[in-house]
Formats: sequence, structure tokens, C-alpha cells
Amino acid sequence: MSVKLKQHWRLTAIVVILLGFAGWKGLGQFTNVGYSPVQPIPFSHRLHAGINHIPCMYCHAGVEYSSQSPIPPLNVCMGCHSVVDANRPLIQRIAKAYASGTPFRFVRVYQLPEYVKFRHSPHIDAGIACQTCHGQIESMNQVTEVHQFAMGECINCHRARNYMPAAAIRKHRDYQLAYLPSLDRHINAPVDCNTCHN
Amino acid sequence: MSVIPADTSDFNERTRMEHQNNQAESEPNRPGARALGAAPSAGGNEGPAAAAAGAEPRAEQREAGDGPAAWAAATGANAIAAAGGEYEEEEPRLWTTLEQLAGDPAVAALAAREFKNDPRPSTAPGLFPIIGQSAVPAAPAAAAQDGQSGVDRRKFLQWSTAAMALATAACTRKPVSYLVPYAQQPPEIIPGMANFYATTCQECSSSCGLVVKTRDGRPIKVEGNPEHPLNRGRVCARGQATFLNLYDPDRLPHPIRLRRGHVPPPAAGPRSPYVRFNSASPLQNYYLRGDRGTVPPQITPGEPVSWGEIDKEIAAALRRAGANGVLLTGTVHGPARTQLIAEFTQFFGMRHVVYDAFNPDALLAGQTAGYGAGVVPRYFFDRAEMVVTFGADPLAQGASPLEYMYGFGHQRKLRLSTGGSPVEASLAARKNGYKPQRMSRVVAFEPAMSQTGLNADTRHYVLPQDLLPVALAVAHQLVVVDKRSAFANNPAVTAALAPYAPAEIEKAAGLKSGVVAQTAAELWQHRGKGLVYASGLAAGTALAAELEAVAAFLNSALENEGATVDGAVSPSQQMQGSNADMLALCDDMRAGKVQAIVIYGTNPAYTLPQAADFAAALAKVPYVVVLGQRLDETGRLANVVLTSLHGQESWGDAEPQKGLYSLVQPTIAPLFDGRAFEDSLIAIARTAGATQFDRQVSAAPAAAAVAAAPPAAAGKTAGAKGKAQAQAATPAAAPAAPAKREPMDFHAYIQQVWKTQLYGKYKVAGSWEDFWTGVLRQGYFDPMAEQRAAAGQPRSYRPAALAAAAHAAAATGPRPSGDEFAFSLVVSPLTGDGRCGNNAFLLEIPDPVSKVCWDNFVAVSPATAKRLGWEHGDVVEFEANGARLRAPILRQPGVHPNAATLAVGWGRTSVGMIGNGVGVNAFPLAGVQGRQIITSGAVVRLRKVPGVYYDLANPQGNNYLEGRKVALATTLEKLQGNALAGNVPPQKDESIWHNGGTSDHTFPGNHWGMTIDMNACIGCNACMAACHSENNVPIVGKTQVQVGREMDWIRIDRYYTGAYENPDILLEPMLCQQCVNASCESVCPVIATMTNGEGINVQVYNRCVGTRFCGNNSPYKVRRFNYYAYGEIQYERGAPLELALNPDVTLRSRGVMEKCNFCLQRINAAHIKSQQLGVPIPDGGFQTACQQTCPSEAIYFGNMNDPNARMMQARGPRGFEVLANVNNQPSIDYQLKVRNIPVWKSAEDQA
Repeated sequence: MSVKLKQHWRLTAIVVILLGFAGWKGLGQFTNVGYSPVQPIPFSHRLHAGINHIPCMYCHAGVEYSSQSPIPPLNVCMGCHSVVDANRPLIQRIAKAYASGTPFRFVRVYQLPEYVKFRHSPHIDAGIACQTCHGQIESMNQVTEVHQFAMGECINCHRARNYMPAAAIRKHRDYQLAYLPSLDRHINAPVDCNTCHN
Repeated sequence: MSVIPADTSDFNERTRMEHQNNQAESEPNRPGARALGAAPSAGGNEGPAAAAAGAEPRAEQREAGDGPAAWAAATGANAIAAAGGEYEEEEPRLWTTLEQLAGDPAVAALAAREFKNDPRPSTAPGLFPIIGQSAVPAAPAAAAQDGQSGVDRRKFLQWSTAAMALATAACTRKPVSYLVPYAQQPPEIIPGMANFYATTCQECSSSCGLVVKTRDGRPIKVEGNPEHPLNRGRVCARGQATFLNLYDPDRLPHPIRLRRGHVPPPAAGPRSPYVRFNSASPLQNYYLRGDRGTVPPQITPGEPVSWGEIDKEIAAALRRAGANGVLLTGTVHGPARTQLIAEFTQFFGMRHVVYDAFNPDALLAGQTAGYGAGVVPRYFFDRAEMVVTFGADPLAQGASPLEYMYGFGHQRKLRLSTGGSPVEASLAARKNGYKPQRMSRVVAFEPAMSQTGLNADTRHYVLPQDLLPVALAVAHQLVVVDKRSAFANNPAVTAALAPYAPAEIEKAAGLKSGVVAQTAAELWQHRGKGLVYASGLAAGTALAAELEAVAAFLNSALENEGATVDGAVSPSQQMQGSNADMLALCDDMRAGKVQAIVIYGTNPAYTLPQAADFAAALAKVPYVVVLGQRLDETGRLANVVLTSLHGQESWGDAEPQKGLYSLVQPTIAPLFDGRAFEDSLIAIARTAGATQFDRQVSAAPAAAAVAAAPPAAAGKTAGAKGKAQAQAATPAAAPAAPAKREPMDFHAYIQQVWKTQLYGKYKVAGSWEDFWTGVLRQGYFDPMAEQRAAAGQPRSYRPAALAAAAHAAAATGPRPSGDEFAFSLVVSPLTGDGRCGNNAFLLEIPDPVSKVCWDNFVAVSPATAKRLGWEHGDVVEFEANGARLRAPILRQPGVHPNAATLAVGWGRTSVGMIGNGVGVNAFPLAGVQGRQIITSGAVVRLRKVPGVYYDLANPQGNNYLEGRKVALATTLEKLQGNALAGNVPPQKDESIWHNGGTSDHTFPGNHWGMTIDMNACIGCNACMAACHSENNVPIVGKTQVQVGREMDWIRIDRYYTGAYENPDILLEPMLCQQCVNASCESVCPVIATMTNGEGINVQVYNRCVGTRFCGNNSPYKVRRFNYYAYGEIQYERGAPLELALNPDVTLRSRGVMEKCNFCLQRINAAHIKSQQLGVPIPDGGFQTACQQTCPSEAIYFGNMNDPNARMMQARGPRGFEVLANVNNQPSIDYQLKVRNIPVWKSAEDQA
């Protein structure tokens, strides 16, 4: 046996490294929780959404129609801040950027792979709160990723709210079936692969 | 039921009439057919034994009496009481290539192996025999790429582990990316939402209406404007491929000044055999060697110049030239454009010459002779129940091809004799069979198979020289023999036609006896509803004008004039060029009479015949300005080249037919430092001191409305970030400066012209602003819709024109004899005149007839090639009209034995990285006779070049059927007697899925399916281009196509049946059949493909590990494996090409299987919309990309659970499933092809 191992030490090493890589890869993909980059302007969701109770969709307008949740353009900021706190240095930075037409480059926090086509509008339409995925955003000064955006999270939620074709159950048998109490309206949250992958 | 053995030649008959007349002589006439047909059919066609064996179970089934029921179950249709339907099986001996027909053992081997996938086509034994040495050094490169690069498995593993270790050491989070919002978000834009703008296609001058989908300010998809009267929501392949032109990195980035005579040639010289025979275009090098980093950068010769400086220089030169200045353009129509050009030329006192690659000189001459006024008529193909073409290809090269395709394809569909829609006809057929139904009949006389000929019921090959005599013989038969039509008693007509007795003409032209009489009788039968069409390159002999005069006579005699031909009310303005004017201009230039010339929208250095010697003539002009999107062949001869804009970047208008106005609005800001042609004209004129292009700012409210254009850089076209519509709709803030003269840009100019000429002239109700906004939204203005539809009074024909034509026809010029060929130029509908020469979609989408891509070729008859000993891969050299050329041959069935054709539009030398040197340029081979350009009829000798082998890429030969009947056809007459005629009874295998046939798949909500009417498919390949654009389907390059790695999700298979000289054609769009019991699913080890809850066989790219088992097990060969990262490579060519990608669709990576998924992203969008509105998705609530663009509406798509869906109702009894016996339960139902070949009755019977 030892002779064989010795003979195949290269292979063994490769297998070990492969396993290690797979483990690292698995971890690496799902450890975005806690990612909280510093943004070019220290916009505080806590101040706006939490303390001042500005609705999310006041600034992220169009999320109920669009696949994306639009990052508010500077003219939305200036809608209030041309009056509110207009003299504070940070606001003046915004005013300057708006006047010169050079928007800020915000660092992206939530990012899905290219083969996942997540769409915001049907989730808004289904009454899913923003906090379901984005955490207690109204208490964050700097946006932090709080959820692993792994497929299990999507599928469990979808599965709880929907019919399931037999085939789809077979395909997802490795995920725990978790039936949540049904909502009062029928929501057709499909679990077909093509719902997100096309 | 009779099973006819496969090798019976009965199936080879062209028409019943021919069969009746010539049964005895048909075999002796076709020695080649006998020789080929007698060869062992190892290629997979069933021999007699196999057919007999197959007959037995079918007979049993019939006795059991469950044939029709089984069929009904198979198609998923409701129980159909097809009146007395009985399977009457024909034996369609389908074949796709000559090798297959001849029983080449290599074909059998390939069919058995299923996939080509051989990286070395040039050295593969058998299939591509090498004669001499290869001129193509591509094979080693291919071999190196395909796993023989010296990297073995062990090395690979060692390297990968090292790479992993490094990757682990340097691990970080995913790459940081940024989100950049707008500073000032335009009100109509919501990020992630699409906006749609109505505009007009500018890829050719036929000016079809488009609706352009833009996402975040960039256009990503065009669809037809469903309300536009011209194309009625349809787009051709060239229109669909428009974004590869728009986002092409090879466009000219800025205006340049060149040193004339010292412009370096493009990367490879046209003399180099390497380029001439295009073994590998730069793109292919790119793919093959994988050297992505060493793509040669686009080198722009010359020095950049500033707009202000160049305007001054041009203005001074044009001032100096005065009456010796010339503005040379392609066809330009539209009220504002026409007026601008008139004002510009008037200001400088210069002359305007219009020249395109294809010009209607002959048509105008024929019309002038016949009717006194030369117009290009508007042809109503949508009313024509009988179409006869003489050397013409209206589908590929008409003045308004999309309009013709729409009408032609719709008339091919079966309809009730009383009228109504094809869907109603299908519903009626379910009850009563096809008894009282009709469809159009198409007869083609042509030297080689054209796209129209491909769709003809009856096709006769004749030499170009014989087209005119045959047309005259038809007239003779009609007027003199049958004594029909208003001209029957006109002595001038009868005297002129006297020498053209059909019998002699038929004999001379090699036609079967009686063909002319039958054609004339049928034309008369369909009088007032027929169309005789004779405009095309292949008809462009020295007597083309006379042929047009005879065609006009036939249309008048048959009462088609004023019914299907409109030359009075709304004639076409889509072709305005003139060869005569251009040749006169060349003479003037040679004589030194031209001091300055401005050229736009035409490329005479590429398209003029060699005999015209354009380059030498232009060299005599001291100052040459070329405006263009790219540095083309003419641009290289200029002093300065100004960058003009793509149609999606500029404002403009069009008047394709008289009284139909169409508007061009930008959907994106200019991508390069360009300026629209019209704005350049305005800027140049203003620099020279013109004042008519100034405007008073804030002088009057009306002027302020006109000035709604945003402030733009001097003369630059407005419309930043695709918000043109909003800018037009929202009045601009009134500038503070009082009464100041400012330059008017073309946007304001259009508004001014439309306001005075259209809004004022047609007395439109409502305010001007409402009118303008309405036109912007609608895309066109059609104030005379009713009058235009009426086609007007018939013009009266002058018999003298016919007499002149008949007189001229006596001398038809030299005829080919022996081994000589009558040479014709032809047009491929994809490349057209070559202006889209750098468009990879159009180069890779195969030619509808030959199915060859990435090349043009000399098409010769297989029989002649066999006689001369020419094989696949041979190259010929020949001389026509003083120009010499080498080109590969293609043995194309359906070509006259003494005819040879070569497509124009290839062999560009200065178009861009992809198109340079692809194919050979055939334009120089045209002849010049006086002021005429002769494109057909030259007698040439083709000499085989010894020792040269050149392999054409033909995706149709990449897969072979093992004698399976995948495409079915019958005739209208048989179908009317038996609704199941030509259909093959399904003898289904047992399914491996549950319950012995039906799986446990259930589709409670929607079950998406498709119905494809093979009658309506005209093979134009628009669906392929639409699919490429919608689904980010990549281009792979010629060499990859040769090894069977094309990535098309949809293709149009072309099958021949019958003898190889002049076979019948079956066109069958083939895409994933979305099977319920999909055989691809059951073999996937990782369940990356599965039937979803709506019956779509989805492919999950991120789960796929690339075993290719599914592709192997799919009987339809529609799954495509991404061998290289084709998509990524294609878009790595550089900015801004990646903007053409559809953001809703994943760009598939290497090693992943992909295929059609019925445009899942559109289905998902429809679901979201229906969820939000709380209503189910209505029938027709969304369309797949192929369905949307199909010019003839051959594709129906809908929900199979809804019996009232249009798609389900279109499923008549003639439906069949492809390979129903495999029992995959496909979701696509094909309506089999029906040929309209009536039983011929003699003239006496008809009367």
C-alpha cells in the first residue's frame, strides 16, 4: 500500500490539492457576508430610511418595474438637498458633482454571477420586503452584505410559495424542503431552473 | 397505400406535365442521374429492401384503422375529422449534398459517426479529396489547437495544480465593481428597463420601419414596426444584423486626410492568393491560433483633421469647382434629404449623380418604352396568385425585398378559395380536408437557382440569352395562339410576335415542349392576380431593357397592370441610381471636367466594372471627398474622408414609395467622432457662406418649437443617450440670447421641411407639435394609405415597345457552346451589394440556396462538372469582360449545364478586420456596353487551376440523415383529394419514459409550442440573424464551421429531392423541438437539461459540465457545444462591440452546451408582466425572436394548452412531427410543404 502511495504520490498530491481547492472555492464563494466597502460618499441608510423614514422606493424609484433596483441619480439627492442641509460640506460635494455632471462611482455590494438573472420587480410585486434580502438596511450607516446569496436561499423561499413540478423536486432533492406558511395571496414563484438561469 | 422503392426515378419529375410528356425520354436525357442513382445508396437512403421491410408494420397499423387517430394524438391537435384522410406515403428521397446522392462512403461514415468534429478537413480522407497540394495552410493551426498542441494530460494537471496554488495564495473577494448612477437621469429612463423607439432601417435604401429596443441608452435589438405599411413588422437578416455594423470597432474613428496615391493598402493585398482564397480571415486566425493578444489593430492611415479646418477646405474647393463639382450619392429619398441635397447642389452650382451597386436602368428603359414614363413600379406580391420570374430574384434583390418577401410568403400559404386567413384555412381543413383551398403558383425561368427559384413550384433553367425569347414566346402563345388579352387583335403586336412561335423557342432554349403554352395558360387563368417580374442581375444581359419591356407587356396584357403592379399612384423610389449617369460621370472625370467630387453612400471603386476604370478616372479629379462610416475602397482614393454616422445614430427621413414618409431618429449618441452626412452638407454650405441653413433663435414661438433640438456641438446630430424622443417632445428652454443666427442642424431642418411640406400640405388636424410627436412615435406618415392600396389606373402599353423588343431579340448575341459558359452575376440576400461586408453575422449565416458561408463561389451544374472532371475543392480561373478572376467552384444543382454564376458583394478589400479578403469581388466582371452595365450573358471559358484545392464551408453537409424522412411534401392536387397526402404515419417507438410513452411531465399552466408552415418558409435566414442578435449566439469563423462547430440555435435545412440537375427543394427551419420526452435529458449526468413546468427543455449553463452526451442523443442535431469561448472571443475584438449583447441573456462560456430555449427571457418577462397585471399571458402576448422577424410569418408560437391559440389553430391535418417515430413528443408541429403543380390542361380544355 505504502509502495503504491509512493508510486502515486503525485496523484495523491493532486487529489489533496484539488480537494483543498474545492473547499476553498466553496468557502470563498459564500463568504461575502460582512462585505462592507467604503463608498465615495458616506451616505447613511440609517439616517435616511431609519431615522427620517424615507421610503426605499422614494430614492430607488423604478424598482417595481425594473429588473434592477436603480441607484438614485444625483438629481434625486438634490431634490431635497438643494434646500436641506445645503451648506454642509458633504452636501456641497454632491452639489458640485451634480453641477459638473460627474456622478459618484459607488462600490457594488451585492453581486450575483452573470448566469443568474435576478429580477427585482416580481419580488417587490409579491410583497417581499427589501429587508428580506438586504437585512436591516435602515439601521446601517454603511451598507453591509448580511446574506449569503447562495442558490439555497433563493430556492427555499421560492419553494415555500409555490407549486413544484415533480421533475423540479427531483432535481433539487438535495435541498431541504421547507414549507413555510402560505401567504394570503397566491404567488407563482416558480422553481424551474430557467426562472433565474437563461 | 403503395410504397415506391427508393430508386424509382418517378419522384424526380419536375411536374406532372413533364412527366406525361416526357416519361419515355426522361431517363436517356439524364445519364448523370442514372449513373448517380445507380450507385449503392450507402449514404443512408433506404434501399428497396429497407423500404419493403418498413412497409409491413405500417400496413398492419392501417388495418387496425388507428392511423389518423394516432396521427391526431401525435400532433397534439384536437381530434380532426379529416375527410377521408388516408396516409399516402411518398418516398421523398431527401439528400443534402452531391456526395450523399452519389453514395460517397465518407458520408455514410460521417452519418454513422454523427458529428464531424474533425479538426483537419483538408486532410480528411474521402469526403474532401485533396487534389494536388493545399493552397490553404490552415490545417496545422487547427491541429495545434485541438488537443495536439503538445500539452498532455499530465502536464495539464501539473499546471492546473500550480495555478490553483497561486490562486489560493492570492485569494480575494470577487473583483470589485462599481455602480455609476446618472447625474441627471432622463425622465424616460429607468435603469434596467427597455425603451422602444420607432425609426427606419438604413441598411439599404428600401427603408423598412423598425422598432428599436434600447437598454440604458444603447440599442440592442431591432424588430419590425408592426404598423409600417412596407414591412409590416418584419425585418430581414441584414436589418437584424445592423448592430454589428453600428458597434463595429473597425469604423473610421475620426475624419482623416490622405495623401492621394500614397495610401497603404489594407493588411493583405488583393493580389495575395492567401487573401484571394481567404483561408483564414483575421477573425479566423484569431480563433484558430488563439492569439487573442495579437489581433492586428485597425490601422487608420492618414492624419486626423479637425472638422472646422476640413469644412473650410471643402467649401473652398467646391466654390472653386462650381459647375465642375459633383455630388455623388447612393439612393437618397425623403422630403428633407431631397430638399437639402437640392439646396446644397444649387448653392454650389454643382451636379448631383446617383449611383448604387444595383440600378434599375433596364427596368426604367423598359417602362419608358412601354408606358412613356420611367418609374420603378410598386409590385403587390401580396396579391399575386401566380408569379413568373425571368432571371429575376425579387426576394433577394428587389427594390423592396422585405415587402416582396412578406407578400410572396403569405401567398404561399394555403387559404380557402373564398379568402380569409391561413389559420381559418387550417381550421376548415380539419373539418373538410383541403378541398376548396388555394395557394399561389410560382414559375421561374432562370440560369441558376436563385432564392425565388428555391421557392418556385416549377423551375426551368434557361440560359440568360434565352430569357427574352422565352418571354416573347409566352407572349406569342398568349396573344397569337390563344388569341387572348386586349392585344389579341392588335396587328402590330401579332406581327411583332409572329417569329416567336413557342415550339422553336422551347427547342432552342432546351425547354420541354409545352412549357410555354402551360405558362401562358396559367397566367391567363390568373389574369389580374398574376405578376411577371424580370428585374435582376441574372437578367441583366445587353437586352435587359427589352426583357423588361416584354415583362411590362405581359403584365399589361394579363391585366396585372393596375392590379398587382402600381406604376401610377405610389411607385417605388427605393432605387434611384443610374449606371448611365455614373458611366457618363466617369467619362467626364477622365476628360478633366470634374474639379471636385463629394461621394457618399456608394462605393464605386468596389462596385463598378473593371472596364469602367473608376480609379483612373477619379485620379484625374483634383479634390475628392468621401463621407462614410468606414474607410472603404473609394475612401482610399480620396483627399479627405469624413466620418459619417450609422442610421441608428442620426436623424433622417425617407420616402420609399411615393406618398409614404418614414422617419429616422437616433437611438444612441454618435459612438465615434462622426457627423451625419446631412449635417456635413449643412456645415460645408454654411462655411461657404450659405444663409438658408441659419435659423433665428427665439424669434417666434414657431421657430422655438422647431428649435427643440438640444444644444449640440457644431452641427453634430443630436440625441444623446437615446433620448431623442423626449427631446423632441419636450420643448427646449428658450435661449436667453436674442435674435442670434445659429446653424441649423439636420434635426431642425427635417422639422422645418416636414412642417411646411407634409404637415401643411396634407392639412393634418391638430397642432404641429402633436403631429411631430405622433410621427416620432409611429415612425411613419402615410397620408394616402387608401389611394396607395388601390394601385391606381392601369397605364396603357404602347405596342411599339413590344415590336422594338421583338426586333432586338432577333440578335441575342453569342451563345455558349461545348465547354463554354454563359456567365451571370447574382446577389446573395445576405451580403447584398457588400456594404455589410464586415458583419460577421451575415458572413456566417449560410446562403439560402447553396448553404455555403464565408465565401462566394462559381456555381456550375454538377453534370457539367462531372463531364469536365471537376471535383469539390477545385478552383477555376476565367476572364469575363476583360477582368480575370480565380474562384472556387461549387457544384450547385439546378444550374443550367452551360451557365455559371458568381455572387457579388464579396471580396471587399477595405471594409474591416473581418470582411477584408473574404471571398472574391465579382463586380469587376461586369461588362460595359456604351452606357450600359452588362451583368449577365458573357460567354466565358473556365479553366481549372491545377494543384489548388480550396474547401468551402457548408454547414448543410455537417450532418447527414440516415434515410429518415424529416421533411415532407406533397402537391396541392393530392392534398385536396386526401388531407393526409404525403404525410408519413407515425410508428412510434416505445419511450423510455414512464408509462410506456408519456412521461410524468405535466404542464398545468402554459405549454409552449410552435407551428411552422413549411409552405411559407422562403429560406431568407432572417430568423437566424434575429436569434443571433436576441440570444447572443456567437460567430465561430469559417474553419470552425468546416468542422461542424457552428453555433446557430436555429437553422434552415435545405433538402433536395429528385434528380440532381434540377431538384425540388424542401426548406425546413430546424431548432430545438422542446420535446416532452426529450432524449437529451435522459443522458445528462448532471441534470443540466430538463423539461420545465411549461414544456420547455431548458439548458442550465452553470450546471453543464460539457459531456456532450445530450448533443449526441438528440436526434435533431440542434444542440451546440461551445468548443472555445466563441462568444467572449467575438466581443473581445474591442469596444464598442460588446454593447450589442443582450443583457438579459447569459453569454455562454467555453465547454457548455447551448441551444434554442424559445427565448426564455421573453417568456420570463411575459410572466412578470402577467403577474403584475393579474391576468394570464394572452395569446400573442409575446413573440419569439424568430417568429417576430419571419418575413412570411411561417412561424407561429403559443400555448398548446389553449385550443384557441392561433398557433394551435394553424395546425391543420397536414401537420407532422419531425422523427415522430422516436417518440420524443416534440412541441413543434410542421405543416408539410405543398407544391402547387396543377394537372396541365391543353388550351382547348381551358377554353
